[in-house]
Amino acid sequence: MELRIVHDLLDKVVLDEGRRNIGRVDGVVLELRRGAAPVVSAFEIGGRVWARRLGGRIGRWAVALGARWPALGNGVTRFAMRDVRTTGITVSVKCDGRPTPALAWENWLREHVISRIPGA
Amino acid sequence: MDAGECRVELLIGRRVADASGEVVGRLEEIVADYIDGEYVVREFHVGAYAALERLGTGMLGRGLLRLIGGDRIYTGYIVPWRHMDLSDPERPRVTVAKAELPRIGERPNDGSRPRPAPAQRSRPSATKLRTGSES
Repeated sequence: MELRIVHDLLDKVVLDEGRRNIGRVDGVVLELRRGAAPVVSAFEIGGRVWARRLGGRIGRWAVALGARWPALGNGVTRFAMRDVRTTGITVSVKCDGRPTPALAWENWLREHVISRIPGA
Repeated sequence: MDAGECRVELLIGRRVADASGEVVGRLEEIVADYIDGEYVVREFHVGAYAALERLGTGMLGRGLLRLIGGDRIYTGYIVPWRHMDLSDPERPRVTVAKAELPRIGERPNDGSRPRPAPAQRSRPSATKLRTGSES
């Protein structure tokens, strides 16, 4: 089976084993090996990974903002490629996304904002 | 290729130069094969055509490009993993001359290679069925 990393993996929506949307693939890690073909070892979700892609001053500003406001620039969640079930329109993984930092921002928003709205 | 880690999202869009320093194009796509439980990189696609391919307009894009600009913009190269030097991810380099690289579309189905269809089960033949019912 063939995988086109940019077309089939990067920026795709990630669904956990409970079909919960846990974010998008912000970064892909290649493992370089001496004298052998590189291996796609993992992908990452996280504001910090995404901010690095902006580059230049905007990228540095976004990284600094994330460091100052941890809820916004939540930690980086790394999923090993062996946990990937399918790729394509969405990427499904064989893990529970709830305990990972990928949902920290959504949890914070639910706890501090949504739950205080009457009727929410 | 030296051992270590490399980030695809920072690599994509970088200008790739060949052995003599001539620009081959921008890195647009990385193709990997699933072998023994691992996604092993097979080749890197570089150039303007590879960008179209990345947007999912494989054969149609190729046809349109030929129609409007011919060979001037119809450039896309396949760089096998062994010819790509990623020791400096900010300046990826091809270890051979640009002229030695195969163009995307030179081989049939390059650039828009369909995924292999799952193997279909063959229906048992009539003779086999008959033999089965006899026994």
